[in-house]
Amino acid sequence: MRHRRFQRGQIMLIILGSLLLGGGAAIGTFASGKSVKSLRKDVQKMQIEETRRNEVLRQFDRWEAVSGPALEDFEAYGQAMLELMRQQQASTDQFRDLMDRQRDSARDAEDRLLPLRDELRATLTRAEWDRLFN
Amino acid sequence: MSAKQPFKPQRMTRAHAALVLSLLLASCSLLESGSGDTLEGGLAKLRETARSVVADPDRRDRFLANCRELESELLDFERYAAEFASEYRRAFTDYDSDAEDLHRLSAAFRERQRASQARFVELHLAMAAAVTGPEWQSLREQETRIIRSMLDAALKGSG
Repeated sequence: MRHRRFQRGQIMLIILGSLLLGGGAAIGTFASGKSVKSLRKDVQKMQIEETRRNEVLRQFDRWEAVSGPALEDFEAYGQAMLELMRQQQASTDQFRDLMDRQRDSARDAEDRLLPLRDELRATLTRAEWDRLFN
Repeated sequence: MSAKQPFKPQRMTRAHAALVLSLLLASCSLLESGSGDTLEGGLAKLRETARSVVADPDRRDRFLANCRELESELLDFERYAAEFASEYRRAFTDYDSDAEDLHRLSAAFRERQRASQARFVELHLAMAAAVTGPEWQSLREQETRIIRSMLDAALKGSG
């Protein structure tokens, strides 16, 4: 019971950290429930033609090229937030400026990731898509 | 997914299960890594520290009242964010959803995120203003530890 409560507490931290601290839903495993690494493995196991498989793997490369730097930005903004919180005299404007930039960064990552999701959807059949994500 | 196509309960359940499962796996990796912080525990320690370091009862009460409000705000936001994350995942993994559907969900979320962040900052600054410099030195370590736990948990949970 204590373990379950602790685990629930950890899940809360993940959600709060990911979403309160300015991360967007499109980056990391929040979007699909799987990391790109895991999606890549699943595609390797799927029965699809080599040309399409290679195309999907190239799409995942581009996916990682967006989500990797987005996660680095998220971490950097989080560290800046921690630094600001330590300062007793920090102002509302300083926080607002930082958080606005965090949200803009997350939105920018989403703007670049969602077209890649659409490309993936156009490459896979409905059945393949469902096998990959569900 | 669009306004014309309501969520299918069966798929909602599956998406929610996937979210819970991946978060459980992420939390297991945190357990293995030895991270022992939770929001509840962190805030309890922050209140305990305030009771021992803030000498003036009025300022201490003000700090503790803001701390309780902060906890309430965080819990409210977490409930909302968990629902949003589940809904976003359901839409993201739905073959019939397009980018516009996902943008619409995110835009609504960002409005709530902006409001919760503003309230979070307001309460944090009220807590900082209620105490003296030396008191803040002790309290800030505890408060930033909570935020650092959130950040670490989020990064580990991002796969």
